[in-house]
This record gives sequence, C-alpha cells and structure tokens, in this order.
Amino acid sequence: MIQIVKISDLKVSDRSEDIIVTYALGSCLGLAIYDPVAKVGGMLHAMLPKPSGIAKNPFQYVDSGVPMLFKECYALGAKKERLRIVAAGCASLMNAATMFEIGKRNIEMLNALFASNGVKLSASMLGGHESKTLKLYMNTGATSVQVRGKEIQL
Amino acid sequence: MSNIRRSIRRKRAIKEIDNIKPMSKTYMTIATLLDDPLISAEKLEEELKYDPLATAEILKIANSPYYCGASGKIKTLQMALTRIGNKQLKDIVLIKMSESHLKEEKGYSERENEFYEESIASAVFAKLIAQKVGEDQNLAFECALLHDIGKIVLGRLLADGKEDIEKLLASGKTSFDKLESEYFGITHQELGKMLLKKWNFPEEFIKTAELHHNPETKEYDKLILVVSLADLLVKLSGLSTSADGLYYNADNSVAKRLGLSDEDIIQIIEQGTADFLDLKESLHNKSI
Repeated sequence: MIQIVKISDLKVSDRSEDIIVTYALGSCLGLAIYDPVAKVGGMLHAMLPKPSGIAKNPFQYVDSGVPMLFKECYALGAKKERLRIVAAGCASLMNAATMFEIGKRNIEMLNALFASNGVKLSASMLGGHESKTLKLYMNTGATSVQVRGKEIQL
Repeated sequence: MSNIRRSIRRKRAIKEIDNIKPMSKTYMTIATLLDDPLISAEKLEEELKYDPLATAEILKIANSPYYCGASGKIKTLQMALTRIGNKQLKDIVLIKMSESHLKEEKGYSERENEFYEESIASAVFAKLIAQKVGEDQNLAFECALLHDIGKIVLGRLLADGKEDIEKLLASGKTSFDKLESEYFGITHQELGKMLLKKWNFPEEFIKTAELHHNPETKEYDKLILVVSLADLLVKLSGLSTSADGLYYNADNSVAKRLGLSDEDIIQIIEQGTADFLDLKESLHNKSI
C-alpha cells in the first residue's frame, strides 16, 4: 500500500507491501530510514529547521521531527547501527538571500543532529532548484528520488 | 536559438489567449455586487438562482476552519454576509470564479489541481503578509490568486519545448521567467497581464500579474511586493511541484522593503501553511 507522508508529517511501517512516499519537497527536508534486518522503515517531511515559538506540530521541524522518526522506528524493532539513512530536498531559490535559505538551514540542522548522535547519511540528493519526490520501498529498503518526472535510485 | 523561431512562438502564445474560455459572468457580477458593504443576500441569491450548486459551493468554503470559527455552521448567504462579511465573501467568489481556469493548467503542474491549490496558497500567504505590513488583505488575496494566471496560456505550449527547456534549465543559471522569455519570446507574467486586461480586471490585478517577478516598480509598490513575497514563500514551502520549481531569484530586497525580518519569514511560512490546510479540504467538490 502507498503511504503518503504529507508536509510536516511522519510515517513508519513494518509491512513489506508498503511504499512510503512524500511529494513536493521544496526547501523541506525528506528523510527516509530503513533497517534491512527488522524490515522496519519510516519517512519524515519537515519544513523548517526549528520553530519560531512553541511548536504545534513536532513533525514540521527538523530538530524535533528527526529524533521522533528514529524513535518510532526503534519502537518497531529497528536498531540504530543497522539503519540506512537517505535525505532529499532542501532546494533553494536562485541567488537567495540568507532569509530565504530555509533549505540550507534545514541541512545544517540535520548535520548538527547527526554529528551529536554519531549518525551518518548513506545517500542524499540535497539542494538544487528542483522540487523532489522521495520514495522508500519497504520490501527491499530501496530509495529513490523523482525529479522532473525521472526516478533516480539512491 | 533563432529570433525567427522565438517570434513565431511568441505569436502562437498570444494567439492561444483566444482559446481560453471567458470567466463566468455570474461570478463576475456577484464579485462586483460584493464590493458594496450594504449588499443584500436576496440580490446575490437572485444572481445565483440559475446555478443552484454555486451557493452550496460558496458556503462550503465559507464553512472551512479558515473562514468560520467554532461558532456554528453558516447555512445561508445572509449568514455568510453577517458572519464573515462582504469582503471575505468576495474572496471566496473569486476562488470559485477562477476555479475551472486554474484547474485546467497542465503544462507546469505535475499533479492534478496543483496549480489551483498553489494559486490559493499564494492568496492565503499574501493575505497574511498584507496583514503584517498593513496592506489591503482582501485585495492582496485576490491579486495573488490570479497573479500566475498567464501560466494557463503558456502551459499549453510548454510540452512542445520540453527538451529545449530541460537543456536550458540544466545550466542551473537561468531563472524560469528568463527562460520563458528566451524560448517563447514571452513570459507567463506578460500573458497574465494580457489575459486579465481582456477580462477587464482592475489595474491592481494586471500590475501584480505583470510585475510579481520584477517588483522594482513604484506603482502599487507594496501590493506587488506582498504578492511577490507570497509567491516565493509558497515555492519554498513545497506547496507546489510545478515544472518551474524554485528557479526564481530571491534576493532579500522584497522582504527588506516590506520591513520583514528573518523571524517574520519563518512565522509567515508556519502560519501560512496552517491557514492553507484549514482551507484546503473545502476546495474540492466531491459529488459523492
């Protein structure tokens, strides 16, 4: 079954028939993680690095959404050391002034989180000026990014 | 690329305007009637009597969490006038008026109804920005709703130039509006201006359509800046996946001239997205 992760949303699964997908990653971060042994995976579509005030929806932000993605997958039996981690999105407008560099700030927040938790990206397609679609196939753990109608394996 | 080909494409694009159906007269009339703050519901109903679905569809949007709080359902146009007022009701009428045009866009959009949703997201963001900077909120909403309308014309021709456009984009240096002008000899802004002129829209609408990617003008300065910023922030927020992606320049002059800070930008994206989601469910008509 296709599980759609909406903007500021998170989905996890342990069903091999699922395909988890998120559309329209502009400057947003799409993060997919998968444990090939437990066959558990999940995806986050976070919009902004951190909230301006009090967060109403933790999935909207990289700083709160990413830890929740990992925790929900652990709860289904995933183990940190086995995880394959793929990131996509974080595009930018052209010649963007600092105030518009949301994508770049999302990447910085992700890197900081990963550095302090000893986690590394396995593959990524970040930046550029394209809107992207990220997919995670739960049967194999394969991930792909679709840009301008073309699906590329990651 | 030869100038002759470009000039042929330009002519074709302009000719394509003739193939766009006119806007609904009923909705046009109602939108004009709603400029009067003392307009009666009977007068609106009189105009809508041959289109029984229209009232229901207008009320459906009026009852979305975006317009209607927790204070009970809006059941009639009279209730709508009292509860949300003539100006907001006009915003809704403009959504319904442009719906079928916005939904027909297939060239830029990758998904069904994408351009319709993207245009409404721009309207919602523009209203929010207008509120922050003290500009007319309803006018900003309405101008933003139609600011990209030229895409419904150029979108019909985009597929023909797909390969060339991909090549131009691959350089990573051309903004999409520049690319339009290089390939087609005309931009979606210019076509939007022509279309809105043809439909006799007020000057503010025409100017925002024309200048939203070049807001260096003095006329309607603030309004165009508001719509321009809304357009950029909707692209950033990922509320669209259209072919032009994020291929637009975004120096900080727009936000700076409006007196907005980095923090304001984040807040607008947060609130704008929440507002749009409050409205989104009511936008689609399911007959069953």
